[in-house]
Amino acid sequence: MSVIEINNLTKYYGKSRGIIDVSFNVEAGEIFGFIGPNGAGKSTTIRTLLGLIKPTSGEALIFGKDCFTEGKEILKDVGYLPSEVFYYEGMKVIDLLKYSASFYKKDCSRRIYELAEIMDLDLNKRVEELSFGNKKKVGIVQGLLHEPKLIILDEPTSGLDPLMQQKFFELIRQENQKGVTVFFSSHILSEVQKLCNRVGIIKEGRIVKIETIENLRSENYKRIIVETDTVLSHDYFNIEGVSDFTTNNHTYSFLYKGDINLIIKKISSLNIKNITIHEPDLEEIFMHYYEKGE
Amino acid sequence: MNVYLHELKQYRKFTLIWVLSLCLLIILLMMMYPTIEQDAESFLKLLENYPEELRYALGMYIENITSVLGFCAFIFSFTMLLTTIQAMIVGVNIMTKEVREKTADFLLTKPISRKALIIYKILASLTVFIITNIFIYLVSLISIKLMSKTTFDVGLFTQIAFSLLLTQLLFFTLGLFISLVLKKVKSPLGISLGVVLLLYALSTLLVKEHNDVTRYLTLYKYFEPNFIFMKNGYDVPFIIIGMIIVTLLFILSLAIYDKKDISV
Repeated sequence: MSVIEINNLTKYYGKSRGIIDVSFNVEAGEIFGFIGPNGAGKSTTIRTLLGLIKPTSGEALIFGKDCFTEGKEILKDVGYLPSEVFYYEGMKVIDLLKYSASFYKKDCSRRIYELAEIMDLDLNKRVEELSFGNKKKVGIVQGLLHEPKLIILDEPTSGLDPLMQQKFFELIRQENQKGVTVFFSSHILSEVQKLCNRVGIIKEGRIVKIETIENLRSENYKRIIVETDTVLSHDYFNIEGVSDFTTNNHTYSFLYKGDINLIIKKISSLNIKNITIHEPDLEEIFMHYYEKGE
Repeated sequence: MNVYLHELKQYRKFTLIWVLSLCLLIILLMMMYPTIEQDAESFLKLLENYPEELRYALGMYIENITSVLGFCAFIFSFTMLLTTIQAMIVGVNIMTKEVREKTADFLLTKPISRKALIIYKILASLTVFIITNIFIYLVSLISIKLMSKTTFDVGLFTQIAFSLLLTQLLFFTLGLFISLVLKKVKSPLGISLGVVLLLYALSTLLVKEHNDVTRYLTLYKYFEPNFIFMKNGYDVPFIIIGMIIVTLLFILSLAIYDKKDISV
């Protein structure tokens, strides 16, 4: 069953582009990564899911319900952690969390203390006394205290130190193991790679690719670096399947996707000093998508 | 209910400051009354030297001001300028503050409908106004009893005092409506003061007597304390039109907020 269902979703702010014709599904129990550079439309997509903005056309459904008109029902089971957290100044952390909990018709106090313990959060401080990282921790507790079935994270790790990031990922994994679906938006690839099953890549308001992490990796891209004795003509490697080509002195580096025999033949006819062939990391594959503008 | 209580808490300091300063102002103005009562004639002579426009602008009606309730009407019509500012500030603020202080993302991602949210916030605001008015009522009633030996009709006094709350309702819903029509409210105080002072200035220019047709155009004179005193009560048409305006602005605000994009 799909927890999130987005069909041809388009949002314009006046004349400026938010997102165009975005469609994808997030299945129950998966951790879905949502990747794109700043301004690509990640936040617009998330804000539509949360019912904060009204789509220009298309629809966004969560648990099969319309995000804009049935938000009240949906949000009972959604936890949201924004990229920047802002709370009512002058309130104590514990009072803020209790206020947050008061919107859900269940007792959340045990979970509040549990989460505060894990995230090492001082509940008696006032909101305005908190550092950015500590506000973020309040955000995490606030987003999880009602044990949501869907967690929406918008660049969640900014401001957290590495130790806290690790604890946070651990927390998200535990929730996921309980069956919670996670929608994880980020521009930091390594963290998505660590956590997610599938990713959607968004660029300039449009979805560029939806793929499982495994498939992305196994798309058989190779990073090939060849070092030669002689200078090659600049189009020697200009064959199908070669991309991201750079050259430095006698060293030639490129991504290759295609029949591996072809490229090996090509290389074997050269007098080479050194060669490395390795799996590119995801970062390189993504950069490839961003630049190519598929 | 949780939103209502939270809002009330948020307005605690604001209400306290407004109540204190309004009460202080009323007590100070009331202290002028004993001399006016004793020497009404020379006071009236002094007033007559001022241009008529200025007297109207300050809510001083020569035929009213030397009697106890007439003097109260003058004080209330002056206080009205301030209580409408209070109402307008709250009206402009209640929804836009969440966006300005970026707490909207917190509040609007909770399982509560936007309609319920705005209604709880309106109820909290009304509570603030009612509290303010109870204090104004008691303080002015007690101080006028202390300042004057003449007996007066407490019923009429109550009606005159009630005009403040009614006018606040008009300006509160107006402020709410304006704040939601605008794309972004950067300075709620600026908007509130601007609108209030403009309407106040217009009302003093346009309306002198209670039967001026222009009275329909200026929210300020719908429940003008001096007119209530002179006519021994309210003008029913203005109560009806006033309530229609309030209801209309309320419904429109609700409809606009229901569809509004909450952007960062």
